[in-house]
Amino acid sequence: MNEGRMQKLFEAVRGERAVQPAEDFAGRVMSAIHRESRRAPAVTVFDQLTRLFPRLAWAAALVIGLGLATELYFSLTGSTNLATDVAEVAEQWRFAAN
Amino acid sequence: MKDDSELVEQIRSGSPDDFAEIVRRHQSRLFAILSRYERDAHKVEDLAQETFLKAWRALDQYDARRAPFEHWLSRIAAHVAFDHLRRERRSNDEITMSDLGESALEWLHSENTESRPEAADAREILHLAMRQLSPEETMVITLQEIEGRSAKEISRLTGWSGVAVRVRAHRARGKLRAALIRLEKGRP
Repeated sequence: MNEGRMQKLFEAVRGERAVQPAEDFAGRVMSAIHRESRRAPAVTVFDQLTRLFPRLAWAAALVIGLGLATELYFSLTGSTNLATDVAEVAEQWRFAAN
Repeated sequence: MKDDSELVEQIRSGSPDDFAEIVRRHQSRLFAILSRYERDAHKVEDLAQETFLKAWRALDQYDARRAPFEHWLSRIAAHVAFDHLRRERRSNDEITMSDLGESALEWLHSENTESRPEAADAREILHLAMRQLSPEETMVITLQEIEGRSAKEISRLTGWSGVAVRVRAHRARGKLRAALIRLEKGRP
């Protein structure tokens, strides 16, 4: 099969008559749309999360920011910091368990 | 007469039945596109309906400033066609040389290199040869060689990068030619 013969195949297919839509095709599409609209949409957890996405992302960023700011504040004022507190609680829990 | 973007605005603001006018305007072009990927008329209609339904569901995302409505619809049609090709590949329908009609076989084995096959025969031959190609390769050959689209247009329609389009087109052409040579020799 040389290039010319392959091109002849493509040319012939290009000239093929396409399938024609039925006269009431638009009506059928609209019926399908109306059927779909009547059905209650299934809402998944992911759909809900997607809908809440920007707000959830801002809320999460705010919580993280507040945590970091608090930690920074306590570190700068010389009071006890979160890491030390967590270590102390862990120590106490370990000794209590023993 | 209202243009497509005005109609879309009307539909969005609570006049859903105007979508029928959108369907009527674009149905012939859509059928012509989808006929390239499927020979069965009923299946072409199903694919066209699927395309319009997807367009309906995504109508809120259409932005008339970014592309004309028909480009947006063509992109949806290309994705529907691609999904169809993938489904077809997964099915176990085997096509063999015996599925080719007599005149298609005659053209394949003819010594006359100048003769042009009938459209239906060419379609049968290409359909059989393209079974050897991946859905991506079939898609790129159909868009480039049969629909006559440029690499840039294919990239816009499929979402593939320009480089990916060119690489796939080159590889697909090679594989298609090899498949056609095997058909000429009588081995599918």
